[in-house]
Amino acid sequence: MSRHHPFYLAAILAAIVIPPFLSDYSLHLVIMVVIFAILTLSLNLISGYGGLISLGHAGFFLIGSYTSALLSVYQGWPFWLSMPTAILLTATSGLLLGFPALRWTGHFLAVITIAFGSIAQLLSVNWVFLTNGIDGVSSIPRPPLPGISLTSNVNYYYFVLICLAFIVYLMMRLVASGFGRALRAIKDDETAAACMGIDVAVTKVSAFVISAAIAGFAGALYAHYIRFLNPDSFSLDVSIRIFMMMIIGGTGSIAGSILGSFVVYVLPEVLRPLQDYYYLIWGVIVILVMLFLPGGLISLGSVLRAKMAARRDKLDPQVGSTETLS
Amino acid sequence: MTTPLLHVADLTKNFGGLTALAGVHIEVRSGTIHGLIGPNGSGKSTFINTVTGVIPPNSGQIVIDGRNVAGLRPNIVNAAGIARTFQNLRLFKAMSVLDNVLIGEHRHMGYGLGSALTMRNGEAERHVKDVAMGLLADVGLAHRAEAISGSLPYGEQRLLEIARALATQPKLLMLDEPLAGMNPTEMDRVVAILRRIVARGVTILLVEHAVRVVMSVCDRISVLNFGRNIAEGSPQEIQGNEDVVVAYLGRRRHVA
Ligand SMILES: Nc1ncnc2c1ncn2[C@@H]1O[C@H](COP(=O)(O)OP(=O)(O)O)[C@@H](O)[C@H]1O
Ligand SMILES: [Mg+2]
Repeated sequence: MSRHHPFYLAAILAAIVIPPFLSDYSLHLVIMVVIFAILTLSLNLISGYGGLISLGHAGFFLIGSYTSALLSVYQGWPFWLSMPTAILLTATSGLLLGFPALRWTGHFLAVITIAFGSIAQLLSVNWVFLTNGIDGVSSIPRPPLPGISLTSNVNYYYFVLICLAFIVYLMMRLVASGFGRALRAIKDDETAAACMGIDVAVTKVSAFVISAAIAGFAGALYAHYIRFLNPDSFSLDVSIRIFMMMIIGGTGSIAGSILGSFVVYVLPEVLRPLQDYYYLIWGVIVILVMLFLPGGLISLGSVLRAKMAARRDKLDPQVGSTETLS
Repeated sequence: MTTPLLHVADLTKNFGGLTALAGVHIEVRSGTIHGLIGPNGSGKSTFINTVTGVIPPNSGQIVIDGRNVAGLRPNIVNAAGIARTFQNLRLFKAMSVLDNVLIGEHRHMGYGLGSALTMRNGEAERHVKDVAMGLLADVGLAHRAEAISGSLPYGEQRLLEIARALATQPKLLMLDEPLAGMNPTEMDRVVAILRRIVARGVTILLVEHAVRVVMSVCDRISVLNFGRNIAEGSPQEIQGNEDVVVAYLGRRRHVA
């Protein structure tokens, strides 16, 4: 861990210092990166640590966004009330989706979660009385904050950045807790975990509920940032994108979730001038990561170091390296 | 006579057309090492799997400490007081040695999800770590605490399985061939560990092929063949039992 500190420190400094100097468009990108980083962290909790696939996270994102938006626009609720309500409702939907996850894993669970995301999107299109259908919800207010106006995008950026820091802290606590350990044990060997007294059902469903709650929080942050919602923003594409962010950044890694969100959100924008070649290059990058970095981009450093150590060991067979956690 | 710690009666398990257990009965008395032997495929592992809830039995009673746990989920059976190891090692391979033991302690941790979120688990975490380190020291693995469990040599993985099971604080520990693949020195080490475990009040059900060890450490022995009890008794009685010899050698000695 300590070897990464200079890198992490630089990244945190950059995230704090640079944004005020960015163009409006670039600032928009980094705000979206932060919101997607929260979504990716939420997916990583169930997939990276718990080994459960979800391709329905756009569904949680949608429920969080719409709940907070509708309550504040049509009911006049302040953000500080509509946002927790959004989290609560999304957590409840996570509870419902958690039960299928007890029976099904792998491909089956992937399909079930895709269905969940599609149903959520369909309801947002068809329940016109509630969601205003494809016309969407507009004039969503920015959250009120005493002394600071969040109507400025720079300020909103810092607002979501603090939210991200809070979620990162929460995730670190969760992962290091007995709960996180139980989740990793279930991913490794469910039967053995159960024989050691772990309640697999409760642990899995709890993970789904927490993951959904965090995604719902991201949804509320998004709704009050973008200020206009319609069902198009919550397609299967979005779920897949969150999934890609996790895989590319690093499955089971908190820093990887953030790196993955940045790369997957920003790289396409950087490559856009290349037009047709863009898909080619993007595709090649994804395949390279999948083939050579199963731990995602975040593992690049340690993989290179291990390669170099292996080479050293070959030259000097006296010195073996033992695998340890630190 | 006191009631047994584990009382299993009429335990039956069919896999499709194959009857792995056909009305097995076994009683394990508290404070003993009870051997369970039999030729390959006689149903020993299936016995442990059904008792611990890994696979549901077709019928039968499994009473631990007065409570019928037949067909209950493995975590409930564990809470009722039965822990186990696996014949084909099933450690949490990606996790550290210490974390494997901490998983065993999970059910006893004084903190859960709530306190993880309210950030009040530092003290509790230190306590469970101390307990885990003590268990690792008992099996001679304290110096390996930070290693990835999957990277340990085979014999040490077997020892870690024992420490992890003990961390659940069982009344009864079921060991499925804990000596498999070990050399005589390692075997002696495990035997010493088993004796210490029993001395602390944990009862052991030992499934094992190493006949020398079974005969020397077990108080009583049950023998299975083709999913049925064929003998039960002290090591001396089992050694002299005609049916047992036949089961192992596969033929009947000529009796004049
Ligand atoms: N999960 C299973 N599915 C089908 N057959 C099984 C299963 N587990 C064990 N068996 C069969 O049940 C019989 C008993 O196996 P087992 O309990 O592993 O024997 P032992 O541990 O005494 O060597 C064997 O014939 C084995 O092939
Ligand atoms: Mg066996």
